[in-house]
Amino acid sequence: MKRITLILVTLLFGALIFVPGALADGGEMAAANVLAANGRTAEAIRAYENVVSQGVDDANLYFNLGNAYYQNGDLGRAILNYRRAAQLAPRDTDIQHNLALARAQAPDQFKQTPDTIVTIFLADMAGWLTLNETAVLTLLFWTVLCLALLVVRRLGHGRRQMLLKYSLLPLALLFLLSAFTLGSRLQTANTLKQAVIVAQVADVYAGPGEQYGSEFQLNGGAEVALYQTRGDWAQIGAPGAALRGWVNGGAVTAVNR
Amino acid sequence: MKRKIAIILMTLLTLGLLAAPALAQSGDVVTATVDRNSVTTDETIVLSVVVNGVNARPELPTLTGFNVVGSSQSTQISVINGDMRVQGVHQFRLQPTQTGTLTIEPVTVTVNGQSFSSQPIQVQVGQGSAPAAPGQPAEPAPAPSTLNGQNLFVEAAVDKTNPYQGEQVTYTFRFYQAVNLPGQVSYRPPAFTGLWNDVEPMQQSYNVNVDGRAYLVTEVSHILFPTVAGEVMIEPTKLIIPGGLWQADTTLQTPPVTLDVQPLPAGAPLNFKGAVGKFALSATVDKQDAKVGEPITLNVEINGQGNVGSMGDPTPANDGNWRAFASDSGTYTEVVNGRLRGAKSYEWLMSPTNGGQLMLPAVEYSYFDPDTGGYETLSSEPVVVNVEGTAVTYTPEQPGTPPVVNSELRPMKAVTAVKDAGPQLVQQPFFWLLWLLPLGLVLGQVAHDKRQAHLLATADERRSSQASQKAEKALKQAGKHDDPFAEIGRILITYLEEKLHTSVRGLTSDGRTALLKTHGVSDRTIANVEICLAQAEAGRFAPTSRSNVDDLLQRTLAVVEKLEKYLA
Repeated sequence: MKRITLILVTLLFGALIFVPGALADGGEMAAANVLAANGRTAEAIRAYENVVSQGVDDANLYFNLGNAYYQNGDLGRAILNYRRAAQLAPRDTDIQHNLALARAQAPDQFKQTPDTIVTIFLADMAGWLTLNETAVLTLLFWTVLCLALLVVRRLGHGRRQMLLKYSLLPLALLFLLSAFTLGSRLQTANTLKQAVIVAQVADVYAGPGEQYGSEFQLNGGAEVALYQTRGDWAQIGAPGAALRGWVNGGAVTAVNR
Repeated sequence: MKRKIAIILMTLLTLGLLAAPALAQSGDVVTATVDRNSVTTDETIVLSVVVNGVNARPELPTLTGFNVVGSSQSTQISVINGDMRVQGVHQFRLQPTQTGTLTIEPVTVTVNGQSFSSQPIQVQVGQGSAPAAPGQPAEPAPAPSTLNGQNLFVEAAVDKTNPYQGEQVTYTFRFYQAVNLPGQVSYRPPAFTGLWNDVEPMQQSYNVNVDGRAYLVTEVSHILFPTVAGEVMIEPTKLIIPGGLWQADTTLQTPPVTLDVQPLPAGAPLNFKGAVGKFALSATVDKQDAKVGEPITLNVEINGQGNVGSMGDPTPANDGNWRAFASDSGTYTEVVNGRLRGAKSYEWLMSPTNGGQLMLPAVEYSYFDPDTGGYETLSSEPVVVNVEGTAVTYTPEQPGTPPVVNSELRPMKAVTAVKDAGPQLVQQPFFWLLWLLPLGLVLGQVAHDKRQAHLLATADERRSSQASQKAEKALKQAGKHDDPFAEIGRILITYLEEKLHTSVRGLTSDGRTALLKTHGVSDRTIANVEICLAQAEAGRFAPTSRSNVDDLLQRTLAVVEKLEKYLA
């Protein structure tokens, strides 16, 4: 029984360590870096975007691309790429710094400061762990909890069993906390798509078409929620505000590719 | 016959169904109403045309018996949970020019090639204090001193030669004709350079008698607003009278008119945006309770007399607790007694960025009053709004405001190896299967423990149920044993222990008899058991033959079979 358990646990985390994915041509990235270092930001942007178009999803790539857009004066795309980088590497202080710097420049900001313990906790977790890391951590707590249960049952009666029994409660709490965080993040990712206004100024219409009349405008860099798309139009809204409307699809880009 | 009737009825029904949407739509898409159906020639009525669902401009019909003296337009768009409603409201102020029952023909709107019409409207026009044109005007202008019996004469004048910049000036052109003209005259107004001129000129005709000669006077008035200070010249107005086949065209022109436009005095308030005249301001909100980020609607109207069409727009004040989004605006103008009046309305969505009792700052608007020669500032009342919720991080829209963080951009990362992060784990089915493994281990252990407990609990029962088979099997092999008699005895004793769940080995014969009796075994069977045991014991020490072994074996098998009935 013990052997079976050991084999299964090894398989479990061994499988999680496996990271599939393509390795981009390092030369292309190096060339883009050189262009950016020499101040040829427009060319650097093209080179970085070319790497992105190959399906690469790397935090450093998005960070460098965000820098290039920022230096090129495209605040919207700078924020977009910094956010993509932050999703992949939330603990990277350089990414956090540059994202905050870009956000401070954006004329339109719709952020809501979390107020309850739950929202504060969720916000902190989102800024510290990626979704994958949260998922692995939750699975880890679940596995440890189950193994502890197995050991408690095996130990029979005695001091060790009592000690281990008391440790089940904090383990269970950790698992529940982690599972709640994972569930919240999954639900948010599935129901509320985040997007950034990438046009300099985007007219927001009452409906999916210019014949509906422009209701208000949003400046580049505004971070919005993306509700739906219809043809060439996208319905967006300001998180935390009741402002909703439609913009031309080219004026807004979702953070998740 | 019946078939023919059926075909006719089906055809009519189909036509009716096809027409019904169109008929229904005509009322739904465009509607026209007037504010009153009975009016005099001194008064005006407002024709309101509402276009629903589309943002299209209505086409006015020929308004026989009316002059359009003013118009405005506003569009109301509401978006609720993604559902959009568009409604365009077009208002026209009409001045009746004749008495009687007048009909305003249907107003048409064309959408994607399809026309929708409103219903015609009838208006009863009575006689006012002044006669309707043509006829005598209420106050005909005095005949010019330079009119000395000419057949045709033109003049132009302004009502004020030294207006302030932005103050209304009315430029009036008059054409005196004492003879009929063979054709249509061509009116060529000047360019009005340096003057804002966006109001439809007003025209009237009346008769005057000058020195015994009757003249038909055609008067055209232009409402103008000087946009520059200093000397502004209004070029001559020309009137081209067709000459016909035998005569060249005649051009009559007025002399130029020079205005001495006074600049506005210094010391204009900061929020002065060029409004000149007399105005009033009103502001309302749709609600006084809101949540952070949930906008309230602020409606502001500036109305009065002056350069309504060209004056600047107010800006809602911002104390850092609000974000303002311009939503809608509209302008309405009319000419009343020769003066341009009107209103400009504004709608802002004011989104609170903080919670608590917030003050929606007053809207201020300054204008210059030519009558007093000074600036006036209008101000709405500030409104207290109760806002629920948490603060929203807000950065003022001030260009050049330094960022809240160190302005140095962190440099790029000098890495060349990049990889695809791969699909999210949570999207992989195997990730969710992995959750079952630890659970499977726990459940497996629980099941295993339960089985062990069950086996332990039922050991006696199992042993008991298997005792007979075990004994018979062992007895069949007992003959091959080195000491078959001892073996037979052992088998019988073991059988009894397994069936009775107690040790029998150390009991005496009486003890065994009593024990078997308590389990309901008959005396005969008990006797047979004792005989078997005695023979087995005896056979161990006394010389016996093979037949004795077989005999004992058979007897023991029979005893076991008997005991099975009592001890099942």
